[in-house]
Amino acid sequence: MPLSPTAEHRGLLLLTEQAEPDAEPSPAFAHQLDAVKNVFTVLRQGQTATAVRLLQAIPHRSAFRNCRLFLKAALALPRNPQASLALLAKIPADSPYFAAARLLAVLTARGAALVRQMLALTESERQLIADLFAFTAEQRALLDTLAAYQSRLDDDGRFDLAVRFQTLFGLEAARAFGKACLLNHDGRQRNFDQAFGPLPAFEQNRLRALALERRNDWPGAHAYWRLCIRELRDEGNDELIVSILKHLAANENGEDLANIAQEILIHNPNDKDCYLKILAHCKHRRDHASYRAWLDQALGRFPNDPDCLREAMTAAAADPDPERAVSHARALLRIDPHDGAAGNLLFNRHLASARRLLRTQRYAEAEAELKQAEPLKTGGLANASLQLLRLFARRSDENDPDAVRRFIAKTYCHALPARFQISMEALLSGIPPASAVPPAAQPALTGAAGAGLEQFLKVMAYYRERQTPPTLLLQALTAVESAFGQALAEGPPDQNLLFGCCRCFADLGHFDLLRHCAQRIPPDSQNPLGCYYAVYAQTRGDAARCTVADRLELERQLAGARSRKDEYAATLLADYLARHRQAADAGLAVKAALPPVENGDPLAGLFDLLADDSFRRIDKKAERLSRQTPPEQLVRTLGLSKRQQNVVFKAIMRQPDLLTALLFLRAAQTLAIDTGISVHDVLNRFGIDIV
Amino acid sequence: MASPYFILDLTADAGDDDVRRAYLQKVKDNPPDRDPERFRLIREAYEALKDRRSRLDYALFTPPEADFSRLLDRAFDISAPALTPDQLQRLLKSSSEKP
Repeated sequence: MPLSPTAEHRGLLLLTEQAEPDAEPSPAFAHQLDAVKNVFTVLRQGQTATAVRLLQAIPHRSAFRNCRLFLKAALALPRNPQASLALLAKIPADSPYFAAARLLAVLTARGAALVRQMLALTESERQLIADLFAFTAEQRALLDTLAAYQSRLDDDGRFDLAVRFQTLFGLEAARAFGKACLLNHDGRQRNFDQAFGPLPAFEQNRLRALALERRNDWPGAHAYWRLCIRELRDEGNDELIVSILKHLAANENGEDLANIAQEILIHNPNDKDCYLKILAHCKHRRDHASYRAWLDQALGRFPNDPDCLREAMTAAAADPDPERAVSHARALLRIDPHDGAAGNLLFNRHLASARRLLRTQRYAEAEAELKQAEPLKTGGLANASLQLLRLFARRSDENDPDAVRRFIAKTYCHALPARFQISMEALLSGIPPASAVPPAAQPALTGAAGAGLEQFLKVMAYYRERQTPPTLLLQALTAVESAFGQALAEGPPDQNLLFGCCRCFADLGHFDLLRHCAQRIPPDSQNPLGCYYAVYAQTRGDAARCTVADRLELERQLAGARSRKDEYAATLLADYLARHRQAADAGLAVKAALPPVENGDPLAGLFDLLADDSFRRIDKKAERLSRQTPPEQLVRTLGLSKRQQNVVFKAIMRQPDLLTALLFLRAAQTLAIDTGISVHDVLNRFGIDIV
Repeated sequence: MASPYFILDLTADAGDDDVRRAYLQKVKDNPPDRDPERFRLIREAYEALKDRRSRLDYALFTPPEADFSRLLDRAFDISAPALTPDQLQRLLKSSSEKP
C-alpha cells in the first residue's frame, strides 16, 4: 500500500509542532509519532545509540519512513557524509521531507563545492546553512558578496575579493592568487602592491616575461628574462641564470643559440651540451678555426666524455687526420666497447689498409690487418666486405670453391648484388673483377629478382656512404650490366625499386642502365619521374638535347608533380627544364644548324618558331586527333593524289615521327593557326620525294 | 590543473629523495592499469620535480595559476557539523513551511 502523502505531511507538521494533534488519531500513527518524538528526547539527553535503536523500530510502511531516513542521515553526517548522502538520496522528491533532505545534503559538502551549492539556495536557506555550519562573520560576508555577484564575477572581481578577504583565504594563498592575476592584467600591479606589498624586481620581470610568453610575444618575453638575469647577476646566482639562459636557448638557433651557449659557459663551465651546441654552430658556419679551438677546450674539460670524443673523432676523420681519428676511436672504445661509430671507423680503416696491401700483393700483411678488423665487424655488408677481402688475401688457389659458394649463397639473395660487391671489392683492391673469385664459385643468377634489386641498392648505398670514387662505382656497374639486364628481364620488378635504381644510375651518370630501367617503368605510371628518367637517359643527362615534344611532356609532368606536392620530382624536373632553357638560349644557332635527323627531332626544326602558347594548343589538338583519326584517314586529308598518299603512308611506317609532324600540321589547320608550313615542307624535312 | 606538488603530496621544499619516495608510493597506490589517466598525471608530476634542475625550471617557468576555487577551498575548509535536535527541528520546520 503506498504512503499517504497527507498522513506523511500531517506527521511532519505534528513533529515540528505546527499543527494540533488529532482528537482521535489512528493508534498506529500515534504510536509512530511518539516513537519519533522519543528519538528527539533521547538525542537531547545525548543518547545517540538509543536514538539509532528507536529509529530502527519505526516500521518501513509507516508515515514516518522518510523522517526515519532523514534522521539516520543527520546522525551519520559528522562521521560519514557519504553514507549520509546515500540515505538522503532514498527520500523521494514528492516527500514533504525532501526539502529538508536537500538542505541536509548541502552540509556534506565543503570548500568551493559547498559555496557552489549554497549559492544555488534562497537567501533564507543560505542563512540557515551558515548557522548550522556556524560560519564566521567573514565567511558570511564573503558568501553574501559572492551571492551579490552571482554569474557576473569576473577576473577583476575575483582579484578584489582576494585582496578584501586575504585573511580568510590565508595571506600566502591570496598573494599567490593576486600574482597569478597579474599575468592576465598588468594594470593590477598598483592594487597588488598596495594590498600585498611590492614584488621584488626579479619577480615582477619574471611575471611579465611569462605573461608575454603566454601571448606568444617571444621578443618581449626575452627582454624581460634578460632583466631577470640582470637582477640575479648582482647576487651571483649562477644556477638560476643558467636555467633562464637555457630557457631562452630553447627558442633560438644558429648564431643566437651559440652566443647563449657561450654565456651559459661563463656561469657553468661544465655544461657539456653548450660545448656541443657551439661546435655544431661552428661546423655549420664552416668556421674551422673556431671549431678547432672549441673542440680543444671541450676535450680539455671532458677528456673521457663519449660525446666529445665522438665529435673529435668525426672531425679528425673529415679533416682528414686518420691517426687522430683512430686515436679518438680507440679512446672511445675503451670507455664504451660497443660504440658503433668508433667501431665502424676502426673497422673501415683496417679494411682500407688491407685493400692497400692487396694492391701491392702483400697478402699476409693484408690478412693480419683483416684479423684486427674481425672483432669490430658490425655484420651485414661490412662483414661481407671483410670476408671478400679475406678471400682475395688467400688468393684463388688457396680458396675452396665450395666454401666460397656457400659464403656467397649465405650472404646474398641474388647474383646481382653478389657480383656487384665482389666487383667493388676487387676494384678497390686492384684486382680484375672477373678473376676475383674462382670461376667455379661464380654466383649463378638465382633467387627473386625483386629481392636481388633491393639488396643491390643496399650494396650501392653502402659504398656511396663510404665516399667510394664514382669512377669505381661506374666500373663495377659496367661489370654487372648483363646481370642487371637479366634481373630486370626475370619479371616486372616493384616500381619503387625501379625508381630507386633510376635515381642511383642518374646520380652516377650510368645512362645505359638508366635507359634499361626507365624502359621498364609502365607508361601509365603516375610518378612524373618515369618520364623524367626516360628523357634524362635518352639525352644522356644533357638538357640541350631535349626535344620539343619531350620538353612539353616534362612541363606537363612538372605541373602534375607540383599539384601533387611531389617536391622531389618537381625539383628535378624544374632543374632539368631550366637547364634546357639555358641551353636553348645559349645555343639556338647551333641547334638550328643541326640537320633534322642528327638533331633527332624533326618536329623541332619544323615548329620551333611557333610561340609556346600556339605550340601547346596544337600539341593538345594533335593528341586528340591521334586518338580519333587513323593514319590512313589523316593521309587522305592532305590533298595528295592516291599514289602520293601511298608513298606517304609507307614513309609513316618507316618514320613514326612523320605521323606526329602531319598530325601537328593538321591540328594547326583545324585550329586556323598559321604556321607557314605546308605538307611539302614536312615531307621535305623527312626526305620524302613525292614528285 | 593541480600542481605536481599537490599530485605527489609534497611540500615546496621537497628534495630528490622525497620526490622519488612520494612518486613510488603514488605509483604503488595508483597502478597504470587501474587508472591510466591518474598514472599519467603522477608520471608528469614526477618528471616536473624529479631533480633540482627540473624543480628550478618548474618554479621559474610555470605561470602561477589564478584558481579562485582553491581560495574558496581554503576559506570553507570545514567539516560536516553534528546537528543538535533543535537544529534538526529547524531544518524540518523550514521544509514544512514549503508548499
